[in-house]
Amino acid sequence: MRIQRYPAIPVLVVLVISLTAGGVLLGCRAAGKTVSAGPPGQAASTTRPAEGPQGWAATMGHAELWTQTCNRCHYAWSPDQLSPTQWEVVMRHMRLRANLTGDEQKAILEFLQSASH
Amino acid sequence: MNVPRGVNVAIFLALACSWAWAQEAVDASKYVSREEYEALKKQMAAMQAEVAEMRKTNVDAAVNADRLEMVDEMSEQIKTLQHQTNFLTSGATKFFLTGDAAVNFTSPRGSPSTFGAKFNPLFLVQLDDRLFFEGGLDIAGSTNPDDQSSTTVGLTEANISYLVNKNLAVGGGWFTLPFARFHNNYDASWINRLPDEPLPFGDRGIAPGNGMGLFAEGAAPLGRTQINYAAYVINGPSQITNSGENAGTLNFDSFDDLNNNKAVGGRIGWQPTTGSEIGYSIMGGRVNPNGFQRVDGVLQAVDAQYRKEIARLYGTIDTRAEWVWSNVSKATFDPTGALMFGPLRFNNDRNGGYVQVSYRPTVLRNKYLRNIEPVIRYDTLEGSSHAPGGGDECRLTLGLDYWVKANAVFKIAYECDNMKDAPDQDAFLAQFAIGL
Ligand code: HEC
Repeated sequence: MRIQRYPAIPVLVVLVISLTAGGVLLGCRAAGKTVSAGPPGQAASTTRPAEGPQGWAATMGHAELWTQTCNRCHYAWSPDQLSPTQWEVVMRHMRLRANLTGDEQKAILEFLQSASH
Repeated sequence: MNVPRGVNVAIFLALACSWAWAQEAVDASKYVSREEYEALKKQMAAMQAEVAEMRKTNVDAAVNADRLEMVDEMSEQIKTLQHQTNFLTSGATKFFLTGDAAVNFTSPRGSPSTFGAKFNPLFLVQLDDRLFFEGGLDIAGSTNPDDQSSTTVGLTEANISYLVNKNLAVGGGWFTLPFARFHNNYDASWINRLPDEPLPFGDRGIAPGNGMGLFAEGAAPLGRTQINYAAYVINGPSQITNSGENAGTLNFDSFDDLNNNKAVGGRIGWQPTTGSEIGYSIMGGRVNPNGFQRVDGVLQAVDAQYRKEIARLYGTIDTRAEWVWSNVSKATFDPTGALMFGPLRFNNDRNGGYVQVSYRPTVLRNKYLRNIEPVIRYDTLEGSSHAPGGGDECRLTLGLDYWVKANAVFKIAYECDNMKDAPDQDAFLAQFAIGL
């Protein structure tokens, strides 16, 4: 079967980027709502002390952070597929592969280890 | 003697009474008094209680002995377990052997169909909380048209990284370049939704996969969003100059620096939500081998991903798109004609990209339907028709995946191909892939 060259594929890429940005803005607004509905002390990461977790590791529960983050590139392996020690090594590996912050690595590891047996 | 009758009766009565009294005195020695009886009863009760107590203690002792035995047994088991877990977890160094494997079936139109298999072991060693080693191999078997079979082994990873703080890691060695996203994030066979790579990341690809050098990368929150960043300096790709078949293309797998001129690059990504990201990558350097005229190359890429579970669609949509620009300055290959293909000079800019959308009904209750994921991808690669191996190509691929597990997938796909300067290569592809 012959398919026609589609000269405007960069346009498609731009479209996906704009969709992403659009979804993002919606996502941020939704997130803003949930956050402001919570208790004032837990709202924004800026109100937390500098040593505590920051960003998504602070605003999301460990299990939710795992579902949201670990399904992005591949489907998330079930926690009982690996031992707590194996999860430690995997999370160190994913720290760079999945562009995680140290706080995210720690939070997700805690969840995986507690759910792995 | 004559005794009056009354006296006889009196004597008889007296005798009878004394006998009775004597009798009574003997019997009284046999019996206890009321008080004695009561005292004895009390003593008896006390003794009975004592005996019961003693019996009970004896039973308790037996139970205790049983329990002690159990405790001994358990502590023995715990010791064995401790020993085993110590074996697995003791010491700071932790090791995990992982990777992926795949079995392929390819049936190109007009050519013989073939099975194939590959195995990519990945060795992960965590030396302590900060130091980490990653080593990977790519092992594949193939048979060429001359009927010669061979097994190829390639080095895919050999790098050491060190965590500086929670937002930065540095490292060095042979590593997957953070250039665009496919090679770094979607390339493993159990992750890629289709059995083959998009054109810019495939065999004729223009996006670099690995580099030998140093890197620094990390991620940090940015308000309610997140950014990630990476920078590296590597030996860099080298241009192929002495082969008529692919003169002008860049060899990204060069372990050594052929021109003592390092390439530098980096990527910046912005993640507005956990399921979406847009990124920009750039890499530049001199690419000519020593002794060849100066050739500079600049590679750039944009990438985007949007993944979201949409209840109204009963599932999750995953959209991935990337575009790569490869700008390499013009050069004259085989200027004297000594290599029998020159002199050859052409515009060496090449571009390419892909858009891929997949949908999986993750919300459906039926577990068989929930494991099905249809995929559609459009990919293209554009390059000068005068360049060896150049010419435009675009493909539309339709695929269907069945997820046995998160790390085991069966894929089938049909690829409609359109090549400007060569016969089209439509193909049916199938693959079973697992993450190990
Ligand atoms: C940005 C993409 C991406 C994200 C997000 C991601 N992974 Fe991965 N993951 C990969 C890639 C790519 C591989 C394959 C690595 C290889 O073969 O070199 C992988 C491999 C794995 C493996 C197989 C073992 C290994 O270490 O190679 C496990 C388990 C895993 N990931 C778990 C996770 C968990 C848990 C998360 C959530 C924190 C996660 N992944 C998030 C890209 C990602």
